[in-house]
Amino acid sequence: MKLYRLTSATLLRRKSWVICAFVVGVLPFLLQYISSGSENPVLLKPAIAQASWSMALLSAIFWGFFTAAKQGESNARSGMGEYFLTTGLSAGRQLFEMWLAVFTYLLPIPLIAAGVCIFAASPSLADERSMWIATNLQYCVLFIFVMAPLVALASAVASRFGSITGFLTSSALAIYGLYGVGYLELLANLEDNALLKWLWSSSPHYHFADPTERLRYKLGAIAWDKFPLLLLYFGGIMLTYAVISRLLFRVRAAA
Amino acid sequence: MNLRNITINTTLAVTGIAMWSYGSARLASGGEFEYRPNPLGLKESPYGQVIAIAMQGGVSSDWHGVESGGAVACTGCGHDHSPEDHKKTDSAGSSPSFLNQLEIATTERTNPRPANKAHKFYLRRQAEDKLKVAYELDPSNYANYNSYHLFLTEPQVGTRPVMTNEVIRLAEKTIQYCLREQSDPRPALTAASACCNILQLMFQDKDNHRTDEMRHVLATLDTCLARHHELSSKWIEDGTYENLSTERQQELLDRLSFCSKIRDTSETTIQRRSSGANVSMTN
Repeated sequence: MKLYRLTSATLLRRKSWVICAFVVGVLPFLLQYISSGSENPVLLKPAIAQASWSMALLSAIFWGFFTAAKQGESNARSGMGEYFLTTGLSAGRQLFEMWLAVFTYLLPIPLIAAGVCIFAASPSLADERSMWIATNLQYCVLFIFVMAPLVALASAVASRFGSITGFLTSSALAIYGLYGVGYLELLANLEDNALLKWLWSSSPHYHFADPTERLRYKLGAIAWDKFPLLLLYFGGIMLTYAVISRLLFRVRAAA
Repeated sequence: MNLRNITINTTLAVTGIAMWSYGSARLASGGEFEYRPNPLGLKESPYGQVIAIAMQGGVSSDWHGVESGGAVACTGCGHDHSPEDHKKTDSAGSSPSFLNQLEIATTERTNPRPANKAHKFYLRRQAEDKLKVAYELDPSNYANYNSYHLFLTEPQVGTRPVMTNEVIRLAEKTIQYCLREQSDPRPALTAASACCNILQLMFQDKDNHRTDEMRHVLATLDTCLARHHELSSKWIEDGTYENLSTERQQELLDRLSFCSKIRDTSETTIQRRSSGANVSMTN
């Protein structure tokens, strides 16, 4: 796990994770003052809940994917990947260790967001509160299932095509899956176009992992009999991206 | 690529695609793929409400652009208003700050030609689009809903006139949304205003609407006003009403007064129509 330790230490020393911690852990409490909760205090808790998960999504997309892409590129361009290859660390193993290091810093993001929601924005009724906790924990798991493979993809694409391409690929996929597929359905006449309909249905529907609306309307936890289906769906996407990442990842820059 | 890698990749790919496809098919058959895109959950959220208010500035600029094109701008600030307005600000405060001067420099109209028809149409469409977004962000915002309603119903203002039924559906959707609010008294006023709009449309097309339909809308209008009074009393009691600035409070009172007047006028109109119908039946 040498590459894991090296990447983790690099990220720790770079200290950009502090911005993420601030954005997810502190900013929701500041942003509530620019929401309409300043006029109607009933809306303060929903504002905190919405901001904490929105900030978690933004942090993962902007910080997480950028960091992963940067590591992927520097591993290939600095000669580090080639060095580790000579020590017997295969390309797949290098990708895994680098992914694990970035993921170690990404994992607290949904946990902090859920913690903020549970401790600062829980409903006052006991039965609603237990549902609220379950909803937040479910979305923690879904968040991890969605973001984890995109981190690997960012590193893999960056190792071959550079960090900007790596970052943009994962970010664009995440934003498309969260919101783009919905607009594709609204804008395109899906029923009349088989190709667009196929594209829409085979797109990664990441909006299932966005809890903002579910929490705001207090819809309750996702039914436990349906939750494994979502895990299966995102698990499938995860494995597919894992293969793509393994195929794209390279340990040395093109000559 | 060695055999081990090929085996791993093939296994992962086959399993992944199978799981993805199966999950997709199951979710699509359950209708789970249908959803309303809402970036960062902003629509109908506490932040959406603030952005909806902020968007009124952009709408105002576009509207100002339509209306003031070619008018003689104020020599003091370049904006299109009477010199009287300037006297008020000048007497109230000192000379404009550096930032104000910069704003004047960047926003004053120096083009003496008025906006042509196509340009005015473009600006009206911009305003209409912004109003639609503002409405989606907060359907309970009184100003945004009513402005959007105006754009949809007035062909001289809007750029995409729609059928009356569609406008009524928008009003009904607004009423439904606003009456879900259990704390803030303002959405109930927006709902009341939507009822007033429906009544007005019914009066304009009275041959196609029965009196009992109108009475039903009037009853909904009464419910909205009653909800407003109930929630206002609660806000006044617990002191939340004080969170509103005096301008906002006055705005609320003006809107309540307007809706109440429309309500009374509508009731008289319905009574007159009802008695007219009775007279014609007796004859």
